[in-house]
This record gives sequence, C-alpha cells and structure tokens, in this order.
Amino acid sequence: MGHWLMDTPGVGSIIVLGVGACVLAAYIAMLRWIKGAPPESVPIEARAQDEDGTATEGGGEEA
Amino acid sequence: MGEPYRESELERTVLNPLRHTTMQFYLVMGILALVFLWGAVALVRQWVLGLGVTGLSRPVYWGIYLTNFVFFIGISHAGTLISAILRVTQAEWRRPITRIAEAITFFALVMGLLQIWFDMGRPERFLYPFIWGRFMSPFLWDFTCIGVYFLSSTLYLYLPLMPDLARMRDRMTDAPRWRRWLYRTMSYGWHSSHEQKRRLEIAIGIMAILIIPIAVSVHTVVSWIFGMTMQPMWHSTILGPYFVVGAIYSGIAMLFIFMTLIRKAWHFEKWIGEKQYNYLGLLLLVMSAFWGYFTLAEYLTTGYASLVHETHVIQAKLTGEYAPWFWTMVACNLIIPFAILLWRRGRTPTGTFIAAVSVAAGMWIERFTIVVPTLTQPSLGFEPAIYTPTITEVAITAGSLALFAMLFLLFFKVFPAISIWEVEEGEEIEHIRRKAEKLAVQSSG
Repeated sequence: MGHWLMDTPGVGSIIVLGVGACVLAAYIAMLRWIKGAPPESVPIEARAQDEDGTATEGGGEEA
Repeated sequence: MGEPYRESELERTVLNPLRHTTMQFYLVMGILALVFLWGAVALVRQWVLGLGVTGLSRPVYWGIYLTNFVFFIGISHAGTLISAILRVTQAEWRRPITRIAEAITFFALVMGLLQIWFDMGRPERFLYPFIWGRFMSPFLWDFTCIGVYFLSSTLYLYLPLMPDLARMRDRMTDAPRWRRWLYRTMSYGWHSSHEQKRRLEIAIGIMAILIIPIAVSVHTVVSWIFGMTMQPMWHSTILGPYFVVGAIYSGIAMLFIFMTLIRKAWHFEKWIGEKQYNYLGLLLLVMSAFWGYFTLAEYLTTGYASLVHETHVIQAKLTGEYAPWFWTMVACNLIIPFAILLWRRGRTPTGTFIAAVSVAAGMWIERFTIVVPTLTQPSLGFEPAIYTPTITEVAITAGSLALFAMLFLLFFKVFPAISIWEVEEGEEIEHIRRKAEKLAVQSSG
C-alpha cells in the first residue's frame, strides 16, 4: 500500500490536491466562523450592577 | 445626532496613497512596466524557440531560474516568519511593519512558483507534475508544502486586513465604484463587535503559531530538492537548516528594503522609526552571524573530508571559476552587514538599507553558488561544463523582479500599507501602560 501511494504516477498529485483542499476548507470555515459572530446586542454602558455585584443587562440596541 | 467623524493623523497618512497618486508613482511604475515587458517578450521568445535560447544544457540543467525560485521562496519567509514570530512573542514594535512583511510573503511566493514555470520551457508542462507526479519525488513534497504555505500566507495577510477593509468601506464613500465594491465584499460582513474581534484575535493567533512550522517545512523541503540527490555539495544533512537560516536572513533584508522605500515615499516616518530599524537591524546582524556559522560548517566539513567528487566543486567555488561569486557573497552577507550593523549609529534607515541591499544581492549569489557550480562538475563521466546565463534569462529575471515590485506597489495602492487598527490598538495599550505606571508611582509615593 505504501509503495503504491509513493510510486504510482498521478497518485502524488491527488495527495497534493487533497491536502490543499482540506487546508482550504479549514480556512474557509475559520472565516465563516468570524463572520458569524453575533453583532453587539447590548452596549457595555447600559449594563447595570446589582448590590451583590452581579451584572444585569440593560435594554436597547447599540447604534 | 453623532459628531462628524474625525480622521486621525495615522488614518489620514496611511490612506493618503490610496486617495492620491503622485507623478513619482507613475514614473516608477512606468520604469517597472518597461522592464516587465522586456522580460515578457523574452519569455514568449523562449516558449517559441525553446530552452536552447538559455544557457541551460546537459549537465547544467538548472541555472538562473532555479536560483530565482530558491531566492523568492526564501524571501517569502520575511513576512510570515517575522510577523508571526513577533506576534507570538508580543513584540509591540512589530505593529507598523507586519502588513508590509505579509505582502512580501504573498507576492514572493507567487514569483517563486512562476520561476519553475519558466524553467519548464513550455507553458503546458506545468500540468506534467500533476499528471505523472509520484509522491516519492521531493518535487511533490515541495508542491504540498508550498501550496499549504501559499494558502496559509493568503489567510494570514487577509485576516488582519479585515478591520481596515471595513474602515475603508465605511469611510471611503467617495472612492470609485469598483473600490467600494471591493472593500464591501472583502470586509466580509465585519461589524466590529466584541465577539467578532475576539474571534479574529483567536484566528490570527492560531495562524501565527501554525505558520511558523509551515514556513520552516517549506524551505527545508526546497533544500531537499538538492539534498536528496547524490550531487557533490548538495547531498548534505546541513542543507535544510542552512536554507531556513538563509531564508529568514534574506527575508529580513527584503523587508528592510521595502519598508524603507515605502516609509520614505509615503511619509510613514512617525510610525516606522528608530525602534523598528534598531531591533530589526539587530535581528539582521544575528542572522548574519548564523548564516556565517552555517556556511563555515558546510565548507569546512566538505573541505576537510576532501572526497574526490566534492573537491572539484569546492575548489571551483573557493579558488576557481566561481571564486569571484563566492567571495562577493561572503563580503555581501558577512563583512558589509557586520561593518554597518554592529554599531548603534549604523542601524539607521540609510545604514540598514545599504546593509539590506548588500544582503539581498549576497543571498541571490549564494543561491547561484549552490545551484550552478555543482552541476558544472558532474560526477557521471560528463566533461566539466560552463554555464553562462544568456540575455533571455537575464531579461526574464529582471522582468520577474519588476513584476514583484509592481504587484507589491499596486497592492498598497488599494490596501493600506500599515495596519491601522493594530497600530491604534498598540497606542491604546501604551497609553494604558503609562497611566498605570503613573498611578503606581503616585500610590507608592
């Protein structure tokens, strides 16, 4: 099997293209992950603090 | 109603080349275009008449094109390695120069791959490795590594560009339609939320760490094209690390050259200043020492062993027909950089530029003295040969360098040469640090 992989003409280019395709797919997924980040729903300034120090979220959308 | 947006000095200066084009730019591009045209005509002539118009023949079947290939792949280490390593080590002074470095990487890789295409002789032959390639061949290891490196470098150039693209999408509303479309499309929905910034920082961090071993593997595998043969002075275990060190060395030199020219032309003196030149100058000096060490190790062990088939090659390099090339290389890569960079007062824009040009020339010569002398002293019963590059090869080489410069300059006519958001972030970090120091002094007092 190993010999066939290393020595058969054309199989080498399949390996090269396969590695390249996997890498490209991973990078596209990374970009889509960044793009998919939710926009800001609550401005930082609008958040209030309770007396015990836990933050509560205020209302309103950031402009 | 919000206040009207006020452009910072940084933004105004960095975006100025995108908004306005000077006569000097047109002049430079005109000269580069003429040189590129000369190379293109020579290339077409080579395609029509065949590789007989070059100095290549048996046994010297690799010459200037392979030298250029190794040279360009070498300088492609500039951006990625320097930008990535300085990011990982959180060297704040890197911020104004990372984009220039990353662009050098991208375009150097393109030019490096083109050299292989030129060396093949006919344009359709670039399909041959894909049709008949066996993975036992180091050429296919090369394709794999350089392909992964190219994809990674492209992403690594693009990721930090996203916030600046969004800035231009929002600010440059008076730009031509095609530019507005380009910025809108390439900003890829960037909306600058905390979560998106966090994800971008994670992605850049992952790529910075990943790209270092990828870059090392690329130049190691490029060296194995030579090292895996049985040719004298190619078949050496030191060739891998030697090529990696040489690549970093030439990469830093190329970064200096482009950084200085752009800084001067587009007035980036306030952001690319003393710190960058001093620290990068020290890095160049250290790499000069490393290069000298590896060169000494290579030639001393070869010369001391005095194997018959290697003696002819080393004699040709040290005292024979390639001696002028070899000793010019030593002067350019060791003597001149040390003479300039060892002293603090030498690590100025002018001093480092001179040292960098010397290193760039010296490293090209080093690639030439690796590729050609070995082939002129064949070990298979052929007569020793002489290789003289023809005007065709010189024209194609000059055209390649001109194309490299043109693509680089055109890129920075469309995209900002300094990463605006990263420099702003650095200034904010510095501001907070100084404030914290002041508070600490006050509270201890």
